[in-house]
Amino acid sequence: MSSRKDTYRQIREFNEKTFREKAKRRRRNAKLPFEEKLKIVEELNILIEDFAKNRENKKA
Amino acid sequence: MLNEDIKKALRLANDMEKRGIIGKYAIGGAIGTIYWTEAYSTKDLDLFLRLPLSSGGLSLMPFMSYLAEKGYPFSAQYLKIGTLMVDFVGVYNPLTDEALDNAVEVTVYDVPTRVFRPEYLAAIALQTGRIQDFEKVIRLYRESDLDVKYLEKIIKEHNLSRRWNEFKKRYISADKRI
Repeated sequence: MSSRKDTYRQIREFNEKTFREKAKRRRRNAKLPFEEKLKIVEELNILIEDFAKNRENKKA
Repeated sequence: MLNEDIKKALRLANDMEKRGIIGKYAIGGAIGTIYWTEAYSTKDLDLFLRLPLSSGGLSLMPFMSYLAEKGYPFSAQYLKIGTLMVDFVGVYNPLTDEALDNAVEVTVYDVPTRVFRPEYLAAIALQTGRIQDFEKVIRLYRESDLDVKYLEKIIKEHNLSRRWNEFKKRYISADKRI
């Protein structure tokens, strides 16, 4: 039976792998055509506005 | 729509440049950074430009009159085009001046324009030094194919070595995963 320390180590190794994958994905996404990236910017702006509206609605 | 707003802003800047109201201009800031990195949220389009000099110094009047004539709401140095905040930033020091000289010619939605090279965007962000500027340097360093030797040459020429070394120590050496 693995100890808690072993479990943490395995999870950390898995996380490290995920970080490396994410870094690769970011570099791939950076190479998308600029116009495509601007579409993503617009979608992100809308999403952030929605989050802000939701927060306001919850407060009210 | 952001694409329509950007097109309008770039056509406006091109028209002003053609008429001699402004000198050369290029995209910098967050949207300039996004040209080279993964997309992130922003509503600011920073256009760095040279203003023509008159006998009395900087000639701002034709620039302001042109924008007023076009009917754009203009407050402080921001111009609102749809949801986009367009910031006309006069080149304000030798680094931004040099960045403009070395800007890359690009086409965005079929509109010809220029964008700062990633090395200059990183150096300007490093010089400006707010938290969001350091985030830009990290993005440019890890996601764009910037030429580190070229960046270090700019850093040395503009006396940013101390800041760059602190940055590297804090963010690059400390985290190999970026």
